[in-house]
Amino acid sequence: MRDFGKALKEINFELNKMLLFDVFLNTTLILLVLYFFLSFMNLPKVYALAAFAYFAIASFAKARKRKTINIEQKFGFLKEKLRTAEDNITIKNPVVDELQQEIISDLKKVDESAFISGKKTYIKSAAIVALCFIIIIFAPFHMPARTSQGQESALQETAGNGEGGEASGGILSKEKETKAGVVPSPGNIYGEESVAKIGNRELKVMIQPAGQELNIRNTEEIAEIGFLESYPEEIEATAAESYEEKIPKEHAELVKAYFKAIVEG
Amino acid sequence: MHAYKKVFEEVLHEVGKVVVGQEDMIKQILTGLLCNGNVLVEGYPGLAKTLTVKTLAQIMNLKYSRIQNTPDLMPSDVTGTHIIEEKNGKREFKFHPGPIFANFVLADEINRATPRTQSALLEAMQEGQVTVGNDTFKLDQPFFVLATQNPIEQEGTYPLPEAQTDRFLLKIKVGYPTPTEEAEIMNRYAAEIKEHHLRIVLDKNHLFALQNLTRQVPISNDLKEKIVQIVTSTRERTDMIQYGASPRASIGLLLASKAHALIEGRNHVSLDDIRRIAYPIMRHRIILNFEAERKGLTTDDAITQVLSRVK
Repeated sequence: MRDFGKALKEINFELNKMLLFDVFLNTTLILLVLYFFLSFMNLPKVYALAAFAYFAIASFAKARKRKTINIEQKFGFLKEKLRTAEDNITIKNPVVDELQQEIISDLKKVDESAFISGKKTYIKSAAIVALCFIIIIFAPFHMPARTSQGQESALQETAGNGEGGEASGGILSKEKETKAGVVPSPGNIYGEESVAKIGNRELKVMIQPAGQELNIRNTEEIAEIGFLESYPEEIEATAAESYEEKIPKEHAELVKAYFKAIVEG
Repeated sequence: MHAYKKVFEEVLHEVGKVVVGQEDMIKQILTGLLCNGNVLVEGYPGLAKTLTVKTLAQIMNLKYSRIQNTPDLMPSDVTGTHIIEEKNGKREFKFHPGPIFANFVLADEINRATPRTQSALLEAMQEGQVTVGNDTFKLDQPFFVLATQNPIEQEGTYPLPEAQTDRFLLKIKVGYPTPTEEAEIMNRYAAEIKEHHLRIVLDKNHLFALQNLTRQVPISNDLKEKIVQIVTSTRERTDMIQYGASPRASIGLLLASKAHALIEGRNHVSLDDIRRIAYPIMRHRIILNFEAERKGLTTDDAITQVLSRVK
């Protein structure tokens, strides 16, 4: 019984190792696929950690699964025998002893390699390598299929604080792009129409971006600006005015005496 | 285990000297013997039922008796009775044992006996003892009753109540021999009459040892669950079964599967053993409903349907 118990422990240990390796391969594959997908969709990469949840669940489930059934499925000559002996491991009688001895000798015919599918392992490994290469090659281009909300607002913020003078709206303000027949483009760097003022009037200057199409349907007539004739008023003196300070007489005398004393010496 | 298989092969060989074919019936009777259970054999006349039991008793060196059941058979004819005996000028009652006091009892055409006589027999089967008047007599072990009944004769018969049939471990259906077997039967019995020299293959002690060994055959927990699943599903299939099998069926199925495995020379029970033994264990323990009977289904059909759901 002791030998059989040891044999059972060894079987469980070896099979657990192999199953764990398989789960590890699957986890790596899932992680890479998720990472690539999330990068492409420009979604937070943290979701790729779901692969570790798979690892935990799959490892737990496979570790709990009865290994003797796996062996019986692979090796027909152990069918029902192994389970029976495992279930009756504590029973001691001649029939059970004989069964255990028979199984120990049968287990010598069990190859570990039978539990690893070479083809599947090769395919999974190749897929992992290929995915790694794809991710590395595409990383410098960073061509997401969509921009995230966060990125859009960050861009708007950057554009708002830039030196280009686009004080209001930012470079991605769609409302303004559609005006004056300009086909909106995400990369519009020409900014606001009004850039200067003369007097109280705002100059409306539109810099036509090069290489953009002009939509004829949206063109407007040139607005004629009428000028009024007006002359400045003549500037002339209306009256001469002398200025005399109203200083009290005794003060004036005092000042006069002061300066006279200075002159005389 | 191979040594035991050889023993059973020898038994089959020796019985085969007298009985042609009917290997399944012989194996099932052996199953009943190993489980220390009683067997009800149903089959048409002339299918070597009696001959098989008689031969088995011979090769096991066991005491054999036969009770030919008739409507006027009294319980005392089965159990025995007290008779007045004169000894040294004194008269005293002495118990004179009936045919039930044997190891192998063949109760031929049991359904022709009155319920009272049937009860006397079934009580002996159940308790392993006989009470006559105020005296109780233990029956010699091994005690094995093999009852036969004819499925075609209905007039003048007293069919065994369901509660009584439940006491039989197995109900064996005996079929007709194959054409080749039938030709062999003709050749063997239509030619000159010759005595068969049978060898004693087993004795009482061997049989006890084998009965003990049968209970030691291991079975996996999965298969135990399957046995419970099979038996309980007979109670759940109300679409065709009115009364399902009792817990006696679960015990019987487990034990008989072990015996079947031993006869096949295996040291563990397999699902195949359970499937094969499920028919004789359950066919007399389930009662079909009217709808199933109207459709012409048999209990074996119902068992097949129940077994088909067990993977």
